[in-house]
Amino acid sequence: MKTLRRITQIVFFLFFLYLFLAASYPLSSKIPVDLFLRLDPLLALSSIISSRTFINTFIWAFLLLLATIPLGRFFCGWVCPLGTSLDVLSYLAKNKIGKSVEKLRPFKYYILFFLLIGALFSAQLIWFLDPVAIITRSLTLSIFPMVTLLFTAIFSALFGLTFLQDFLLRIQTTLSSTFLPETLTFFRFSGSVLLIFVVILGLEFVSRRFWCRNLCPLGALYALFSRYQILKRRVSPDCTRCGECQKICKMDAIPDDFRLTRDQECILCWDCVKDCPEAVTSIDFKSRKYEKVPLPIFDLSRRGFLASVTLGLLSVGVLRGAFADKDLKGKLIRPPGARPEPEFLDRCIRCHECVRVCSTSGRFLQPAFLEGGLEALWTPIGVARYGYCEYNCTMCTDVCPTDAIHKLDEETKKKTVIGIAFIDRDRCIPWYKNENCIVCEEQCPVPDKAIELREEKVIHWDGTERIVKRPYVIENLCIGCGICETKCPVEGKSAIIITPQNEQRWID
Amino acid sequence: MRKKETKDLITRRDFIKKTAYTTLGLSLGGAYFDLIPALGQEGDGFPDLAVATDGSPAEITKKAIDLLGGMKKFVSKGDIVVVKPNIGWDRSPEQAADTNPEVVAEVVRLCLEAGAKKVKLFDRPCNTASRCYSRSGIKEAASEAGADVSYVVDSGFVKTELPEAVELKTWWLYRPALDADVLINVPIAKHHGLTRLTLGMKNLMGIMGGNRGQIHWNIDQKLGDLANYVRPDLTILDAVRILVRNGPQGGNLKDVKRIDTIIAGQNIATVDAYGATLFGLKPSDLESVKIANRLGLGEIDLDKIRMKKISLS
Repeated sequence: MKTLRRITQIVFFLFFLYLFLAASYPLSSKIPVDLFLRLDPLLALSSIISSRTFINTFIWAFLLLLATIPLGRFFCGWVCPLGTSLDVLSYLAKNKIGKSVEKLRPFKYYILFFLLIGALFSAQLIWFLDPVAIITRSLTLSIFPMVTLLFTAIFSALFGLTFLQDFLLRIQTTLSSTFLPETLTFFRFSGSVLLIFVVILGLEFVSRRFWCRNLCPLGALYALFSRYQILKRRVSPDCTRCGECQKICKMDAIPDDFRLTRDQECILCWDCVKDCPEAVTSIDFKSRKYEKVPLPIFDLSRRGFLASVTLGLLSVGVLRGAFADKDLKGKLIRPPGARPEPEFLDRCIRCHECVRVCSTSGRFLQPAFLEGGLEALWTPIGVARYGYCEYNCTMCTDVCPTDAIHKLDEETKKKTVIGIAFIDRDRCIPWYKNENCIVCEEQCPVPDKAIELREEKVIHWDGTERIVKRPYVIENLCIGCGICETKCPVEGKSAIIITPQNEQRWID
Repeated sequence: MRKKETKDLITRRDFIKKTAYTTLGLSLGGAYFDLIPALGQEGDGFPDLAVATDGSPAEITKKAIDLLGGMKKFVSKGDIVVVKPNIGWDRSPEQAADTNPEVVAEVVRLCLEAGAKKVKLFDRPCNTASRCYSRSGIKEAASEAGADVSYVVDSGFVKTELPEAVELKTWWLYRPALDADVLINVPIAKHHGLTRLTLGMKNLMGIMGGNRGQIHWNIDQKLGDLANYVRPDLTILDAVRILVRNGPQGGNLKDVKRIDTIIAGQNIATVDAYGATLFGLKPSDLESVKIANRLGLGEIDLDKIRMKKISLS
């Protein structure tokens, strides 16, 4: 069973990676690429509570939660991609099991309460510490771009060898048509995202599964539901009390009376069964008489519980007050199909699936940093100097697990206004220099052109008369896709910029 | 680099070499000048320009090339050929923003039939490459016809000096295009807000790297400089569907006119000069064409162009 568990973990991890890679143009995967996120009951609960609507995509997550009632925390031991990463890391680094600090263990429950209370008062914070969101986000924003950077570096080095060029081009073309972005993708402040992931990996050196034992709110939720689990570790009376099982338990779920188990900590990894020298340990559904009275289930203190609830309440104030920036209108350009801002923030779990697919298309979406205050940290925004919203593309609306970005068909999307372009006449070549340019007009994807060129007779600074084609934005045609800003050949700040004025948000 | 076997033809590289000789010859009193064969020689029996109309895209493409003397005239056995269509936009063939895929595929087939060792095909698009290559239908059609279709990669661009250039003295150009034995330029004829039309010369921008937007400042001279340096061996102008308004990417079918025409010629200026007439313009209405003519890139006087027209209907 231990081998089976390992294989299952690897299979799920590879499946997770496959879905990650499949979240790219042309998005042809039959399986929803956000499957792992959709199956996460913590994300489901939190975004449903904070948005106060039932989000249909999450229906399977509740089945997973129900399965936990008889089966316990099998997800943590067998499925969770973050858990698998930690196991693999420890396997490679030969980490010691490490003892738990008893006081830390209930922390995960406090974190869970804190997050859910926050969600109840509409301060969605779950994204910060949900394991599936963390790993998807780190992969998208930080790890994968580093891999592509490495790939590009090797590619460029080899490209100098003429005889290899055709071969390299063939590989590059195949990869770019499947899952690689065509050019290097950079995400602003992506290191800040990686930091959480690195800390979690680092804690693995303190003790095995430190994150899962003490901090993971999803693990805590599963633990709460595994109160009456049937599939359990059981030890027969023939136990010689050698204590081997306690030494190898990576969750530290075995107390000093080795025959007992902290069931809500057990992730059913089967290590203790496999490695029991006397073969007296099993994990099964059969209840046996010789069981002793179970241990107290939750080592929670009233004080800790109250503190986490209070903090949850405070978080609302902190997010919405102390670190807020209410000047959202001026700065944030949201993807097409995004819901009105408060509702968007209630739903967005910062998984960056939308950013991931966009990086293989128009490369428009980037994580926000503090432009919208702490509340909007890492939410997807369009940054037109990096890329633009591809006219025929609807991929970001296809992959959002919480429906923060509502699915749009191609025709609706083409008409959805996300902003409007403004020409900076002090920087625009035809306006300040009286020379032709027209790149913005050429690039404008609206069939009737939202940028019009008008031939104007102007008097140049030296007194000569000239005819120059000057661009004008046609307000009722412009959809704010931003390609004009991306392609504007003026170096530095673009001479045409988009702002969220006129934006249309999705309302049910 | 391989030597050309055919003697009666001028390759791009030979031309560059011979231009140097010409300059030398002229400075020596012009005695050498007569030894230099001129472009589009008189008397080989073939026209400067072939126009085929009213057939399927593949048929008229083949016919136009046949009128010029067949693909064997341009492609020799064992050649590495680069076919450079316009794959600039994420648009379907009906929208006439990218070269017709059937035309492209036919050109690829003819090259391979003529004995080409390899046909490479690429363009640096304005929209996302994978989207443009797919939606234009070119990736599928050209791969099926046997071309090596690839995306343009940053590492392929080399900073190149254009010695004769007036405006565009150095720029990043795509090495696989420069290294080819034969370069075949396959543009589509479209409206354009700045150059009025985009034809053969503007299509060459697809092998340029860097901040291409800046090419638009004094674009006509820069296009002339580029064409003068790159000198495609053959230009095949796709006018199966032409975009008459809101170019170069269009999007509205009402801006598209179907005229089922292919124009082929060895000299880029000549092809573009005729291309202007499809839109009711005179060759001299296009500044870039006049500049190309002055640079010796082909005759643009419609009365002087030796032209053969054929209708397949």
